[in-house]
Amino acid sequence: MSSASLTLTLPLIYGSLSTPLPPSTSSDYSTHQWTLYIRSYTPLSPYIKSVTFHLHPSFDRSVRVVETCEKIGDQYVFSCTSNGWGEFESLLKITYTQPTVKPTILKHTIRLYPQATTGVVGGGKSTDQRVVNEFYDEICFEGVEKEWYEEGLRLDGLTPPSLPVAPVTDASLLMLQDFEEPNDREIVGRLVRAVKFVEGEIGMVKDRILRANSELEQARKIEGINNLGSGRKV
Amino acid sequence: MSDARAILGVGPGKATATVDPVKQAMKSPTGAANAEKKLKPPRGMSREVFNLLQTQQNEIAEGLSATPLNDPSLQATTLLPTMVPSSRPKGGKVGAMGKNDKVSKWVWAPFSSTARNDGADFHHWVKAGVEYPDYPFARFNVHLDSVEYTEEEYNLYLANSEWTRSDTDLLMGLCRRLDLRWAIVHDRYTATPRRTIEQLQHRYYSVASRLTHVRLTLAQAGPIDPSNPISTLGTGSSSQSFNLSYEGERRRQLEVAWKRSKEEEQEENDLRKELKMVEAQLRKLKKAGKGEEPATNTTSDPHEAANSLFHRPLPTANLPYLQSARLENPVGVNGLSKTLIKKMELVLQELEIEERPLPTKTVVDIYDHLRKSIVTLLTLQKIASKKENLLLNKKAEMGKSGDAFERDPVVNMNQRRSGISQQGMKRKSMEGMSAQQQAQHALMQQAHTAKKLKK
Repeated sequence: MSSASLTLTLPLIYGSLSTPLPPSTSSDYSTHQWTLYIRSYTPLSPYIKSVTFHLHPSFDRSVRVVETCEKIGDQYVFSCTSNGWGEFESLLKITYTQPTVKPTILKHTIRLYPQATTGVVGGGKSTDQRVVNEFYDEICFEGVEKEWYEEGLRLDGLTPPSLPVAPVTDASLLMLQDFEEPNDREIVGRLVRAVKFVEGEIGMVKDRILRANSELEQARKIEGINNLGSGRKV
Repeated sequence: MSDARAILGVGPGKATATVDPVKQAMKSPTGAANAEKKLKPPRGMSREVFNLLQTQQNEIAEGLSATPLNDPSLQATTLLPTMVPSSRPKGGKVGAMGKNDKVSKWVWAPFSSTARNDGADFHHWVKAGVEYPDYPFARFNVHLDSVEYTEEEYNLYLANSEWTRSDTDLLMGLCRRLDLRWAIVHDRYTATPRRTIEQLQHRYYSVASRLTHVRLTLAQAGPIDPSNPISTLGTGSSSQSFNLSYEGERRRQLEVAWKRSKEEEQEENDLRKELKMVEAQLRKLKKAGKGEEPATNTTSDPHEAANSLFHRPLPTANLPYLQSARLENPVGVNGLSKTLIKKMELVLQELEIEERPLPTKTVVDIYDHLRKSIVTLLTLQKIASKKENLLLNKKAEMGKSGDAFERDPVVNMNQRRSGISQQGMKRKSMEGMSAQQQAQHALMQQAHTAKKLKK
């Protein structure tokens, strides 16, 4: 079983994108239209069979199963769009094409209003602002079956016509085209510098320990001599 | 109520209040009845306390007390507070003889004691008409059995290169005569070479126990010989052998403790106080860094300890995990203590690493490495300050005699550290390395000043 050691990493971004609705159009107190999505620059359909979006129970059809993977630009997207007036935490259950692989559950809070952690697209009036709250993550599969692993590799970068990719249905999703692929160069640099600094500190502390050790040794020796000399009990 | 009455000087209690109940009692044999009406507090008891007792007593009498008092005998005993004498001896002074009591007769008589065999003549006062068969205190005249041995026994079992027969005989005689009062035995033992008290003790006890042992084994082996009594066990020896070196050391230590000067005693007390302080600080630190302790104890290398804490999730087939899950800090049974995690997070913050860096594989790997390093650093820092504290203690201990320690490595160390921190990545980072470090630093300096003061 050489395939047991194979590790597959599936990078993806999950998040929400909300657009304020003009006040007149809302018939049911909804203030925003939002889209919950999982997007990736790696073809997802070879691995992900479906994504189940668990919404707030007050929604009509609060559990929505999405089996179609849309292609927007060079990205592959599973998404779910709805109108709403409140922020809430949703669950995204990813079911894989390999039935033996257990599903993964992501938690995501849909943001309608700008916060420190959310990105804001557009600008000008606050009613125009689109709020993006998304996170990068990687799904790691350890010991996957070779065929499954290779299927992804083979498809990486090219989209054969056989691959089920649906045309984009939601216009707002087209925005995602403009989003940049996350880049870890900057953070890696900072981390490396931090590691170097801490390692330097470790060296210094080690010096301190060595110094204290040798001094202790010396002190013990002197103490021993003193004890012999004065004959005092310790 | 009686309190207020007493203050105002009115009420029914007034009539008897001015009369001393003792005098009253002396006047008439029925005085006890009067005294019961108005009791006087015993000397040394404040009036308020006494009144409390009285109130309690009244309550008991009225059956208001919480304690059930169905037993009449119990009621009788609790009616009066125990510290108030319930009755007084008739006729005045306690312990005095009555008028009609007879005085017994005592005579000055000679006596003899079996404890003395020198026939000395002594007299003492005894009650007339009482005869003792022996002097009553003669039974306290108990002597050790003498350690006696024959020529043959000595040569067989007791010969010793350091002791001659005559010296041994002299010692045994003295021990017998002086009943092992070792200070006197030592004083009277005049044979040359002079021997220390421990040497005398050692010789005596080893001879006695050896003889007992040999005789016991012989008695067990052969038929009992009445001429060779084995009951010579009352020689003060025991089955435990006399530890010459230990006893010598013990006596020496006692001597040293006895001959200490006042200054030395003061110094020792100061050191003890200091030790207590430092120990308390260490305990505090230990408490703060608890949980991390087993890690440092089980593995000598802090690197290894840290390595075992941050690792990838166990590869489980068919159970994918998120890369970001590796960013979580291992807290709990196998993980790190919350305090250590907090310290680590503080360091991370100072190094300007965000809480959730972009979880790509590279980033997570480096992030893991960074966290390991920080834990290692924190652990090592703790060890370092422990060692340095130990060193300070040691030096403070040696205090006066430590002339070889004129130069002060602690000051050097501090200078060195601050120097490096300036050229380090960021001064801010160094300062904020951890609150613990700063506390340790302060402790070190405190101990240092204490030491200087001593000098």
